[in-house]
Amino acid sequence: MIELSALKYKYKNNLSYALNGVNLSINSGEKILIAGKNGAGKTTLSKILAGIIPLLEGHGAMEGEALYNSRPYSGYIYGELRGKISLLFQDFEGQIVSTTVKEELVFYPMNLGRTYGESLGAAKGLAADFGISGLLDRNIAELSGGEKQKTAILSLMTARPEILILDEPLTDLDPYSQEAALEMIKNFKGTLIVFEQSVDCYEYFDRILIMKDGALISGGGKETAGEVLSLDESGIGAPEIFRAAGGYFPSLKSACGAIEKNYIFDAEKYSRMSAEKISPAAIIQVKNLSFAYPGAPENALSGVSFEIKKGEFLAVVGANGSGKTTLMKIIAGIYPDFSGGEIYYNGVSIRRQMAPGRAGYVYQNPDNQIFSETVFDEIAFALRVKGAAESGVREKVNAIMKTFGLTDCSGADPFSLPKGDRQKVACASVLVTEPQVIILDEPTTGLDRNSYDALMEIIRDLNSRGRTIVAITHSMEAAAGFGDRILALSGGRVVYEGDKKKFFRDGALVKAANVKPTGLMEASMELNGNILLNYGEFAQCWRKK
Amino acid sequence: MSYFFYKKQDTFLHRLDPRTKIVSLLLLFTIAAATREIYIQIVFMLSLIALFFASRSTGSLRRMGTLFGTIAFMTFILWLFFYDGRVKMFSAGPVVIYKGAFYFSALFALRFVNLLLSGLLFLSVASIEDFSDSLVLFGVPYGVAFTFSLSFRLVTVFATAGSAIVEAQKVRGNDPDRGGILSRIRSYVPLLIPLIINGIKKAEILTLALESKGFSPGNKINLKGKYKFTAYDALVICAMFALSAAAIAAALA
Ligand SMILES: Nc1ncnc2c1ncn2[C@@H]1O[C@H](COP(=O)(O)OP(=O)(O)OP(=O)(O)O)[C@@H](O)[C@H]1O
Ligand SMILES: [Mg+2]
Repeated sequence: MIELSALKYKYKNNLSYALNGVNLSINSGEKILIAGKNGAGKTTLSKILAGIIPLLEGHGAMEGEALYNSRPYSGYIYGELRGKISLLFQDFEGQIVSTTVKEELVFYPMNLGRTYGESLGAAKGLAADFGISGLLDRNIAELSGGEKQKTAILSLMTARPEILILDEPLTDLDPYSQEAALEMIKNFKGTLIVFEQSVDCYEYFDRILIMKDGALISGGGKETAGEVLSLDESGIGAPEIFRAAGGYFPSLKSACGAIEKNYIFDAEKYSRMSAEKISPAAIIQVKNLSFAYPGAPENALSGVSFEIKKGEFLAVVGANGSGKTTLMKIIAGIYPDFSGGEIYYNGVSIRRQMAPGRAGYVYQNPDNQIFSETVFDEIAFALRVKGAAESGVREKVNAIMKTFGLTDCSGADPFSLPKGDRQKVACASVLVTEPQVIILDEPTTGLDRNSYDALMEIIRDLNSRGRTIVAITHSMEAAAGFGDRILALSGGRVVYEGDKKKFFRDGALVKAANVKPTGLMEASMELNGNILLNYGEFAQCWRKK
Repeated sequence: MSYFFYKKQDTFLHRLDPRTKIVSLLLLFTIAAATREIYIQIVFMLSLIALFFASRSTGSLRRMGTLFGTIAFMTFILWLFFYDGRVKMFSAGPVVIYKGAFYFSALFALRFVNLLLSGLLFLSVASIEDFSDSLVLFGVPYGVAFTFSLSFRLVTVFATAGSAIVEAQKVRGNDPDRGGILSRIRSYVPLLIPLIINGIKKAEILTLALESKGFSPGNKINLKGKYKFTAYDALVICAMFALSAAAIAAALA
């Protein structure tokens, strides 16, 4: 159905090839996962498969062959592909065209000439499958990040295309919604091609392909997700459970069997590691906070009380729409008008008077944060506002660009960068002033393994130098990697605040917070009832026999 | 915190058929333009405000109130000096105010505000889709109707980009909303260039997004079943026609 051979693509004004010899043949009905790190060429490939390059965006040079139904893509007019191939952009917010969810869901099928009744029927059916029927009448501008992503995915599926191509569709979804989305696209009757940074959702696909430096370098069935070494080499990283078990295992039981055979548990290390640490004094206290968006029928937050300790690294988790972003924007002083409760910063109430800028806030979507013309100016902005001398600004900006690996794009337009790099620019532009409290709203979305590790390194370093870090995340691996404490929200209320191990051990609690333990956590519970949060802890407690 | 005036709600004005909404808007404009009596303009203004309450759209009113008030005041002042009558009432050097100037300035100011209020009411109860759909239902080709609505969409795009930039700058310590009006203007000026550039970029993405979701100007869409023109709509339209006919008759008399 799709046939690519020796396909190369070079963007205008670029020296290097974004795609460099892709060979791929896709049959009707296949479910394919293509994983690759930042800059591997996933987005370019997705646009070519959808015919957007070269038919709508053809500013570059294409070599080799790209056929759809045995005819070169370049021989089509885009209108002929309409309704047959659908692409979810990586920037899903930019792809939204309507005001309400319902209008967005019927837009595509109606533009294909289907009746309103039929289109609405498809929209309602899919929304019910995905559990977002309650959002149909909402304004899209007033949805949470994950709710927007769900809308964007469904707005393509309502058109019932033959081929559905999704460029990182899971970034902003909570673990249950990820599962629901994967389940839904698995049942999709057509060809499915999903691009991801990792192979974590391998279970749902027939074929897994690894992309590196503009080419597809290897691939196979589900067992590809267990090829730890080659995945590491491609900068992707295998699921932690396979790293621990040393390869692919089809079930949790079999993975546990392999671990027991090869490793021995060090109980003493474990108890030392799991001793609860005494926590320091609070830097921010939130007491009984309530907040409703203007005109919204329900509170986004109700009766929220918790503390952020000085110098800690707090992970915040919860389902889509549970109020994480809202809560953190209030603490950062972006929404100063909260209706009930108090927030204390070092013991002083900051009601309606927090000078923004004291707590740094990195946005969920970097595109909502970036506004300068060059990467350098973007990062320098906060320093310049503070009136820092230009020489000092240059020094600091250059230093942070180096840590983030952004030096090469110092003069580039931040909007022209790939999403992962935009994310880094957004982080750098806030971290550069080293605020006392740093709040990161899903900082790891769109980052591959190495960039993620690098970002964590920078954040840990700031943390060890006394900065307080709060990170919202949907990735339980990330949540397990951050600090000791966790805050879990559900429906605008706090369901848990405290030690992370206690949280992940308590199945009912984890469920109430709508999150899931990682495969590795489940495996360590299964093995001996102890909980290990991440591969680092695993490697400490389980020694090779 | 949406950047547009429309909000999906369930009030009798929101429920009207989009054709009723757009025809009523035109008739409201007619009434505002035709009426020459100040007291009728005042009654008209109060009725419009009542409709804002009835459609739970006072938020729009609050947001635009100051601006509309300023515009009304400026209109009043300008017409006061530019009104050209026969009988001088007051003169000092080059400044002359003629008899009747007060009446006419007040009338023009009110008329202008009523035009603006009618437009704002429409924007508060009619979505972008209502607007383009009603044009389609009146027989305008989809491509043309959609192009009209695209300008509204672009306004939203720019407004969203603008408020995002302001918010992003606030977080990083630059609060353009601080200080008096002059210092605010001064701190908003540097935001214009990024706003325009960002807006244009987002508009470009929007074009691509529309095409990726099957839009093409030559498309035909089938709106059958989406809206129902009820007896209630007919009633509203009849009432509006009666009122504007009365306004025109009064103006001609
Ligand atoms: N601007 C807004 N206006 C009105 N309601 C909003 C707005 N932003 C968010 N909401 C609503 O408030 C609730 C909390 O949203 P919030 O963005 O805080 O969720 P979240 O936990 O960050 O979700 P996600 O994981 O999807 O980012 C949701 O029900 C959402 O629909
Ligand atoms: Mg959020």
